[in-house]
Amino acid sequence: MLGRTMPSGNPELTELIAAVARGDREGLARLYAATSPQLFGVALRIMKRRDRAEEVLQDAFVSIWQRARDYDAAKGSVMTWMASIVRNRAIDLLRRDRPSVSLDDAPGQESWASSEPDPFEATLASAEARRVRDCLGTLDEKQRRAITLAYYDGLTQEELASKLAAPLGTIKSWVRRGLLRLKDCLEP
Amino acid sequence: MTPQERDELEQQASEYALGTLAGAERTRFEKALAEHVWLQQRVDDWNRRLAPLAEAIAPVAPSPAVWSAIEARVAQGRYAEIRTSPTLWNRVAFWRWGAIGSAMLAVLLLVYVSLDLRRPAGEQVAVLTGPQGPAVVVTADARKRALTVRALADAPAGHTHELWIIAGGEKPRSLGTLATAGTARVSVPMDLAASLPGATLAVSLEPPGGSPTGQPTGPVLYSGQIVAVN
Repeated sequence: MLGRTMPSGNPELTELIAAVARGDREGLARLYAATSPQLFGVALRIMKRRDRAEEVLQDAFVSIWQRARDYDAAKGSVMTWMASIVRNRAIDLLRRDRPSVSLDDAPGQESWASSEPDPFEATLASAEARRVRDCLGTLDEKQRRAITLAYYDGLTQEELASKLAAPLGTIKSWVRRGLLRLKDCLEP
Repeated sequence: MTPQERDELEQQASEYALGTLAGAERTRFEKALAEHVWLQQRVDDWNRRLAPLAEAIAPVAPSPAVWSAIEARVAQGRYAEIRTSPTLWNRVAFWRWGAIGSAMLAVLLLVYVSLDLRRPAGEQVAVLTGPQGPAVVVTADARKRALTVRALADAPAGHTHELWIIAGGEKPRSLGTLATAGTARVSVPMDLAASLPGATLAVSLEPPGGSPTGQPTGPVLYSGQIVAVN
């Protein structure tokens, strides 16, 4: 079972991000110590290569340093705010990496063989995460599968179309409708 | 903007946050992001909704070198770095295809190259982003060998922005300086025109008049890759 120790609204993280916003470099160090393994896991899941994931984590924390002033509770918990920065940077770099010819199925390609994260299996510590998991459960299976594959593996819609053997239009429809349903469930 | 266009952008915002937009569609959307603050808000909302999914991912300790690099960059104010995409030649995985044989390799290379050349020479676009998001939007026409560069902010007082092109793992080459927000046309030297697709563009902070050394001397503020938009 995957256990998490970072509940949403963690007061320690809220204090640390405020310190970082004031330009406190020791605050950044402590924030890094508290959160980097979780965030590195996110980067690694998307990039599949340690060296690229480390670039992502580095860029993300420099960005967090600069943007801490803009964080407020309306943006979600500190952890989800940081996870978004990490994941967005990963997707950004990944999109720059992809060549015209897909090498993903090349023999000998370094593959990230860890088991696929499953929000329905993991023990989720925060109420936020449990809510998202429950709302995901209300989606059609195909919508849910497309969204979780996209989220955890950073697949493009073209890659999803290939992997799920469905036309691009259908994939877009599953993703868009699934996300709208998710939103309506989270914010009724 | 028509209501349909607005609705389409809202839907794309959800796809962008999830990460499924790619290629030309992604670049077009980033261009729209640079122009509409309300759209960035939508993307932020979607990020907020999806981010708790990250909790299901197992933590992994990064190597100590990562923190050292962060500390150094924060201390030196090096807030953006160019991350160029590995070229096909540099990809280790590509060279591991030892089993395939050189004839097949030659065919694959031909396919890769001709896929690029067969793209109609339409407008190519790059959106240069920094930590705060999109900052410079570039439209390129390989035929005209000119770039239209739209900067969203002035260079800070006492400095100028310099635009560089980094093609195929080579050293940055200057395309000129941009001191103020607005639009400028920059011509692309003939020998660089062919390397426009997939090239990285970057903006560095330089003294007035640009870098005295011919290479970037100040921090890289924004960077992005040229993608064809059809």
